[in-house]
Amino acid sequence: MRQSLASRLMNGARLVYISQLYSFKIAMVYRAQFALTILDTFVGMILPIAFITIMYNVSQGISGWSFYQLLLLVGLVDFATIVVYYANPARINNVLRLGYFDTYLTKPQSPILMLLTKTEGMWSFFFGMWSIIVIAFACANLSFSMMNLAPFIITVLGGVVTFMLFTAFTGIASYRIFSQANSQNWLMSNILSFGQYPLKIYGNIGAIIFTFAAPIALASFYPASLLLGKIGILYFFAIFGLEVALSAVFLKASETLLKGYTSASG
Amino acid sequence: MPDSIITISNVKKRFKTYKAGEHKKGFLGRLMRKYYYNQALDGVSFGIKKGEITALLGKNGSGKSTLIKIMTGVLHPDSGEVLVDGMSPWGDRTRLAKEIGVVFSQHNNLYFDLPPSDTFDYMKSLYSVPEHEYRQRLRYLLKLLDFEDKYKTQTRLLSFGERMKGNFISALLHNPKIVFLDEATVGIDLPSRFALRKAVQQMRKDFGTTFVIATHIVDDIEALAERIIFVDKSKVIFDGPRGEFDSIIGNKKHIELQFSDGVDPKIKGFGKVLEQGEGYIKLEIDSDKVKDKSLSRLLFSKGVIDYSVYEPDLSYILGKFYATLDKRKK
Amino acid sequence: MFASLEKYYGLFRIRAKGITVYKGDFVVTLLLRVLFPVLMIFVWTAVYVTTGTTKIAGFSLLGIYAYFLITASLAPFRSDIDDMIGSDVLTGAIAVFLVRPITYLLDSIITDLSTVVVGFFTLTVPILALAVLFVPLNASLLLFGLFGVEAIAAYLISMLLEIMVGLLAVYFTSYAGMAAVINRCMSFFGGGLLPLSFFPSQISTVLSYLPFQFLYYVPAATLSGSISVQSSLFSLAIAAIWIVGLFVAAKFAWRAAKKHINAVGV
Repeated sequence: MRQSLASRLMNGARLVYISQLYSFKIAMVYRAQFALTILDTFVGMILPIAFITIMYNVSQGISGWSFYQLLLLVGLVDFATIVVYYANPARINNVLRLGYFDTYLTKPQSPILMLLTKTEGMWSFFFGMWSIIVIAFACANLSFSMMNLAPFIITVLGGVVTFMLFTAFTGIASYRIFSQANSQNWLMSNILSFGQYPLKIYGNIGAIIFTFAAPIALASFYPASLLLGKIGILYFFAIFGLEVALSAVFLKASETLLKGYTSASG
Repeated sequence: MPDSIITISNVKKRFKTYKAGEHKKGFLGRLMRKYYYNQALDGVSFGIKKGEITALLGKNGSGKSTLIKIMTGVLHPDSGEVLVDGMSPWGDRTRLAKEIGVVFSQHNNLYFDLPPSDTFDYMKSLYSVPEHEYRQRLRYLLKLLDFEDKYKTQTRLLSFGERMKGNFISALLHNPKIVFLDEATVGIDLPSRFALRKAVQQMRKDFGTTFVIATHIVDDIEALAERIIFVDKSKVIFDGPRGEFDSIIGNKKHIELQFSDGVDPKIKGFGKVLEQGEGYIKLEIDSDKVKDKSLSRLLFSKGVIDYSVYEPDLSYILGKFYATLDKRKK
Repeated sequence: MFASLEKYYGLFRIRAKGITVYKGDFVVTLLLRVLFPVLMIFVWTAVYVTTGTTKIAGFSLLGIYAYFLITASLAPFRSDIDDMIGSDVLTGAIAVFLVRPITYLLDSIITDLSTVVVGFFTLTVPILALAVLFVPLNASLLLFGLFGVEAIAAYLISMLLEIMVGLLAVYFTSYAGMAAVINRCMSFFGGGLLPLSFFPSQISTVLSYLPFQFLYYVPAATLSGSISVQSSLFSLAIAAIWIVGLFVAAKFAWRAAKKHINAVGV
């Protein structure tokens, strides 16, 4: 008997919460590691900001977009980055290849959920924290209509979920194609970088790729454009609808691929 | 010592160690660990003869791995002298390395992404083994360990036991004088373990290779050890031939009896009861009691369906030995 | 004498073979490495074209294209020895190497070299070819020669620095986080994200005396023609001083690390 969607979501949320709590506890034991994670995430956050600061220092930047607007995009991509630490493609690939997935299959939760909730410790938590600070700082220096705030938040969250499922899908798909998977994480972090800039600079083909195929724009560019009034508020429905549709597609594709999964030899 | 290939004299070694979560005082101290010292070896001495198969026994953390690392040049002691094949392991490390082979249990000697055959080829150039000798030796070892059909498979795809066989072969290709096995048979399937044991005995017979085996697997000790060195709490507490170790518990025999109608209580008078069940009993008796007339009468009585008399097995002896260690602690 | 050469060659061969086992990864790695330059091409095209700029800090738009492709081609010259040493120390696998008739450091360096050589043919050459064909990069033979020397200097400096980074594992279990932060900063201050001439002048002056500039900036700026040959030669002299200094430092670090390993066990 299939659980209802609501209870599955509740279960999933509880799993995520418990994994994070557990990571916190481990981090507390190794305090030096804790301090380092904060430093590591800080540096990871600061470098792209340094990049655009220097860019706007030596030039006029990208026309139509001010420094703070670009900073907003950077912050949103940082927020989406925590996804890669949940749906870490290299980890997914390894889990499948080395046969750990067998242990997930024997547990009563959805194996996909288990794949996604074995988090990389505190990294995602702190990076998420920095990203919210950056987003808040950017917003404080931007003017926008308060009416756009709700659609903004909804599309950000929807975009992040879509991107997470896309990331999980590539992780599972790569298992069938490649024997080593470190390149997967690389691919993800590159795709994320593309989300830090306005979609128009990539031309039409780029726009299609980052909207439908590797949908980072759904988590960064489109929500930012909604908030800043660069596109009309009615577009919200189209964007949210696309997020839901793509999420379903990636989820279904992941489940189908997993069915063809074979366990590594013992 | 005369024909000793390894001599250890009064070796002492202590380690700096720390407890996770404990830190030095003060603000910066939070980032630095608090270290304290752990005496791993406290005046250890022994000599190992050429061609001997020695078992290094001891509980985990007793110092046996440290001894092996000191004998192979990975670590050096705080004081004391060590001579292996006439060389100081850490002073002449690269020279000694050519004469020894080491198999660790937790670390592979084999390159993971390639088949063992590639590692073997590399060992050949690393140890400068002449081509002809290499081919002969490889054939010999592959046959001895029954590894011929697997050694061209990528190491990643081999089972744990097969990998250990490969590790073992790679450590022996250069015909080392001394081979050190550091818990090398832990976790391996039985057929592979038998093959490894057979290989040790055969190599000693054919080439006079000296083996130093650190282990706690009783079956391996039983099958291989001619000499036992028992390390506990940083000291050697037993060093002698296997027979001498067995008689630690005194000259005892074990006797098992099966009764048709419940255990005859008279039997209990002959020795210590080890196990008892429904019509079944196992006793430990002094060896000379075996010839006792009243015992033989009992054994041949109607009530006894079956019986057997044998030497206590090694795991029992070890058990008693460990028990005396614990008693000393108290 | 030949016997010892044979053992180094044997090691080189087996390591190179190990890398080439996963053939699919080469094309993937190549494509992934090109992604960042592609992003930079989009971004800087937008900046230069939409704002009508012709030169920024000595770089024309084509110069920028060349710069980023060249820095991507230098990827194999970033040493991974920190990773090797770090994991060998943390897992204790260093013991396996210490019982072999070869010094551990030399074993690691040769292993590292095998990745450089394989990477040179599978990454550096194709990307430079791309640059020459598509930018197009018109560099004289002299510049290529100078670039070659500087690439070797880049590797030596990277290797010596990374040996010391890797040895941090001897003292800290949270070594991996430290290494990540350090490496990211080295890339940034080495010109991996932006040409160093884009930085504010005080910062770029300081950076011109540090060793990181040789990892990316000096070779890339030389080959793309953004700095003069004299300037390049002067930098090379500073590089030589750094190589000697770092060599001495690395030797000290190795000796201290061996003492520490002996004190705490392995």
